[in-house]
Amino acid sequence: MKAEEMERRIEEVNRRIVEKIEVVRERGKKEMPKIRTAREYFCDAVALATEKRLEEASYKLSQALEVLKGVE
Amino acid sequence: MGMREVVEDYREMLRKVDELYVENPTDEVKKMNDDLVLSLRTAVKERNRILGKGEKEVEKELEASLNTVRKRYEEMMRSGSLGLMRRLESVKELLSGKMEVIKNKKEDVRSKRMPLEAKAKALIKEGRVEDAEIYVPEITALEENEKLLGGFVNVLSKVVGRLSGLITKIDVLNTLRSINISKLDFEEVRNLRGKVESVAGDINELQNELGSVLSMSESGILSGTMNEGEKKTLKRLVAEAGDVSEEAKRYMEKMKEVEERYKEMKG
Repeated sequence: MKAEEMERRIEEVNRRIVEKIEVVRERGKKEMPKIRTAREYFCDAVALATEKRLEEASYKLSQALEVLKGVE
Repeated sequence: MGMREVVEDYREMLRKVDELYVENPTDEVKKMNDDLVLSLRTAVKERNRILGKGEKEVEKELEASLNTVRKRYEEMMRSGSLGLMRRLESVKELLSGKMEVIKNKKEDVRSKRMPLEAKAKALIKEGRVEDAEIYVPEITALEENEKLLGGFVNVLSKVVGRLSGLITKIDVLNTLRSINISKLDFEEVRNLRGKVESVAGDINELQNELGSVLSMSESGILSGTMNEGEKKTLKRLVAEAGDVSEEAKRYMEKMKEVEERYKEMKG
């Protein structure tokens, strides 16, 4: 994976997290723990990416997206 | 500090900004998130670029950007209606806790009074009225204390309710700080004025009620229910409520002027 692709994915996953926060805000905060978990995966991904471990970082971002899918 | 540690600091900050965005979804908070993520993206790019910046340099840049966002975050938490909202929440929590303590204390006093009353009644039944009278002063004192404690719980409960209401309404001040009232249409002004009037009314009541809590907490069995730090927190909120009340009055006057102007225009 290239750095540019990773950058794009980081941006995309962050955008999705923010969108889901807006959803959670409107519908009650019950689902906030899922957002927190997604944010943890997101930060794990960034940490790995700064260590040039892009494949592992990419996997973490996928996990973040997977968790976000569970937010109604 | 190594790169990992800096990213951990970003993690902490992003958590805080996410929580803040839930409570306060403003452009300012969104911008904090954007700035943090942009810095992280730039760091990732630099770290993975051939001939990119060195680790130390990237680290320094990350730290500098984080400090900027952190300052903005802290400033936001300290000032404005958001800061006030948090202080209202913390006082609400403090007084809710006190309410439980006082209720338990009242129960203790009652449990001391009941056996004494039972003894006195038994003595009266046996015709030993004079013996029963020995218990009267103590029973009366305990009853007085129960009344004081019960009254205090009622006042605290009222303040907690007031605080809950204010927490949901106070954001209107934030809105007013960020808009130009003159540019609103008639309905918007009228609507906002109603909301500010409600906040102003509640703030005034809160000031009086907190004053009562403070003076009650000095008297008799209630003395010692608040420590010095807690009293200071309440006094600070009373003072702040005064400032907020003045601010709300200024907005209401401005809105009245705008409403009048609209009415004149309608003729």
